[in-house]
Order: sequence, then C-alpha cells, then structure tokens
Amino acid sequence: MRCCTQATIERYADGELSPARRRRVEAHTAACPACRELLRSVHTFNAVLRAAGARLGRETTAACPRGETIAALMEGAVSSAEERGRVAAHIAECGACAARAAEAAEAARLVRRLEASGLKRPPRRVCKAVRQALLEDEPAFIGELAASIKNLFARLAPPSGEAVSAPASAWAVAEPNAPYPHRTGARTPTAGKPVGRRGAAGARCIGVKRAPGPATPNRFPPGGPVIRSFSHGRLAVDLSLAAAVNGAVACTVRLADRRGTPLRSVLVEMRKGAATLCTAPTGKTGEVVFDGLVCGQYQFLIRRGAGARIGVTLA
Amino acid sequence: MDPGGFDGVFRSHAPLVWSVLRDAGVPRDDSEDLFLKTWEAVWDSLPSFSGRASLATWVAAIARNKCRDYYRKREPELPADPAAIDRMTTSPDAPLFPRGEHLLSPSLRAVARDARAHVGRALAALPPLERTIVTLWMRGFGYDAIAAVANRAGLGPVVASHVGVLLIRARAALRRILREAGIRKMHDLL
Repeated sequence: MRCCTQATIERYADGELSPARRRRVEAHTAACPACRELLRSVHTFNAVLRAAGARLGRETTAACPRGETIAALMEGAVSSAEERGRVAAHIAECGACAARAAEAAEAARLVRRLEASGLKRPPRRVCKAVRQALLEDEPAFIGELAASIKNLFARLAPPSGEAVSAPASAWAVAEPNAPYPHRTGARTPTAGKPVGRRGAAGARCIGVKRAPGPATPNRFPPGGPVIRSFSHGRLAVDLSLAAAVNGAVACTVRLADRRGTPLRSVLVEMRKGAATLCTAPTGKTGEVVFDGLVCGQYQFLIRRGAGARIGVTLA
Repeated sequence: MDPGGFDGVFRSHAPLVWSVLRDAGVPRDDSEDLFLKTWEAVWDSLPSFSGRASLATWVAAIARNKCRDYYRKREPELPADPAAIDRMTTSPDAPLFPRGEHLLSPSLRAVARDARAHVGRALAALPPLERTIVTLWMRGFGYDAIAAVANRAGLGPVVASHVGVLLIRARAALRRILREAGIRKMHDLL
C-alpha cells in the first residue's frame, strides 16, 4: 500500500476528505507507523498553531460593519456597488469580520442542507415552554411586581405629615439636602422639563418636574437605600428607593440578566397617567435613576427585546 | 417589532432552530434548554434586525452560536498526564470547534505562547488571500466557508479544493518563518 502524501494527511486533519478517502487514510495509518507519526505531528502542529493564533484579530472595532450587513453581502443582497466594495475591502483586512462572514456562509449552507433534508418539528411541550417564558407569563409578573412595589412605596413615601405605620425603631429621618446614598453629590431636582445627566457609576440621572411645596423630611430605614429585588425568567430587577430633597424620592431601577450581567441601553420609560415624563436608557451598570419623585402614581415601562416587558405602578 | 411579530418568527422558524440543534449533536434534554436560549436571544435581537439578510440564516447563526457555547462549556476534564492531554488534543477525533489553549499540555502551551507574537507577524507578512485563509482556518471554518468569504471579499476567485492547497502552502510558510524566528520546538513538531 502506498504511503499518504503530506497534502492528503493535512486535508484529512482538516476534516476535508470525502468519506471514502477518509476511510482509506484511516486504514493506511492504522497499518503504517510512518504515516501515523506524520498524522500525529500534523495534528499537534495545527493544535499549537491554532492556540498561538487564537487571540489574533478577534475584536471588532467601531469601523466594522454590522453583522447583518456582512451576512447580506455573503448572500449577495447588498444592492449598492459602493457599499459592496467597501464592506468587501473591510473583510479582506479585518480578521474578526472575515470570521463573521464565514459564520454567515456556514449558517446559510447549513440552512440549505437542513431544508433539503427536511426540518424536524420541535416537541409541542418545548414550544409551549418558549411561549410561556417569552410571551405569556408577563402579566403575572407585572401583577406581582406592582403589588410588591406598591406596598413598599406606600411605606416609604407617605403623604406629608402622616404617621408611618412601621415601628419607630425601624426608621430614621434623612437629612434634607443630604447626598443621595448612591450618588457622589447632591443635586436639586429641576422643575420644568425633564433633564438627563450622568451620575455615579455610569447611571443616568433624570430630573423630572416636581410639585412645589414645603420642605418635608423623608423617612427611611437606617443603613441606606431600601432595595427590593425581583426576578422572573430572564430578567432580574433591583429597585432601590432613597431620600432625595424636600420630601422627594429617588428611584433607581437596575436591570440584569439571569447571570447577573447588567443590561445596558435598555430603555426605561416613566409615565404619570397617560403622559410620558421621560425615557432613559440604562447605563453601563444597568441602572437608571429617576429622582425628584413626589408622592403619586407612576408607571415604569421597561422596554426589553421585542416590546414593553414590564409595567409597574408606584403608588 | 411587537410580540405578534416575534410570534410569527417563532412559528415559521421553530423547526429550523430545532433541526440545527439536533444536527449539531446536542443531546435531546440539552436541546430543549438551548432551544429556549436561542429564542431568548432572538427576542432580544429582533428589534435590531433590519431584514437586509435572510431571517432564516440569521436565526440559524444564533442557534449555532448557542451550540458552540454549549460545547465550549462541556469540554472534557483534563487528565493528569500531560502526554494524555496531548493525545486528546491532537487526536483525529478532535471536536468540530477548535479547542482552547487551556486544553494543551503545559509544554505545548509554552510553545504556543512563545510562538504567539511570531505567528502574528508571520500572518501579517502573508499575502491577503493566504492571511484570510489561515485566519479563518485557525478559527475552525471549513474550506467551503473560507472560499465563500475570499470570493465575496474580492480576494478570489478561489474554489474550496484550492483553499486546501493554499492552506498547505501558507502553513509551510508559517513553519519556515517560525523556524527562522528561532521557535525550534514549534518547527520540531513537524
């Protein structure tokens, strides 16, 4: 039996031989120590070379086109010749985008192959689980969240002058104009139009119109802001309430996924009645802060994925 | 995209996602979990999907990514014997996706570490076509996908069988460059 060439061995190691040729190589290397040793050394060299080059050019940059544009190019769906040339030239130079293009090519090939051989239907039970997780179970969550926060808010921000129902030892009076517990500096909420600015740790701070009135201290449990956590399915919500000035409350909404990774750039919309007071995205820490809230009924709509995901009422 | 839109995508592409997971050899129980994870990712990303590329390809790519994550997390425990690690890493039955550096034995890992900077320079010295081919091969892509990218990027024309020839040449060039750079152990592997 003739020995394998190095080219054949390398193609075999790359998994690119036809099944028949693959079987022939396997039969030969089983019997031939020299070819077996060559195959072993090719595998070893390839493994080390891949490990050495594993981290090269993996990161995309701001100049890289969107993944969907690259996929469209691979499908021949980019109509503009100028854009086609620009994206193609970028792929030729950028290893990360070349990999994204290869992913798209392999996915398209896989789809064609699977569709040709007939798609398998998932079990009904599995489809039902997906529907429950993504489409059907939000109302229950909203109800649970709304009830919890309603109770919490009712205790924390009683109408001015009313007695607090909790035991006296559990509460402390926050200093008016004191810095917020979660912020590096105090600010006076701005009357009038909503304003946005960066707060500590990348959170967004939004001032909203607040009702004029006499200064009244807030009552908070000692030890900083009150935090309540809720989780459901893929989303974890931490809600913290802290003393602002003149009887107002600052409400921080922190969003994370199931693994605790902060969810950034998720739009949180604050409404009062039918009016939208302001909409702000979560920052790097997954937080958005609404401050200057006076007693009243608010709704927060957290926009996640394909639509409004959570609505809560603070009363 | 409203939830109704997602529902439509789910109805029309659920069999495709399920088929991708089963085709990748994911066990049935784990397929059910990955099926949910795939649709969670689709839900999250659907608003940013503009429709320029094929929806089926996009959904399939997400499912493939979930499969890749799944296999990466389930890489086998390393045996205590370095020689056994080498055998496992370099056997013809190596998995579909390339293994991480941590799955090399300490001696081979050291060689890879020494060679890293030289490999980067050697790749930069290759012509654009060969560089793209080697870069994609290092990430575990097959000849067909590599040829498709090279052609779309204007580096071709090149067919899949020619990719193999170019790859063999490029790897030989890398070996030569590494030998000249003094990475003798790397060269001694072949």
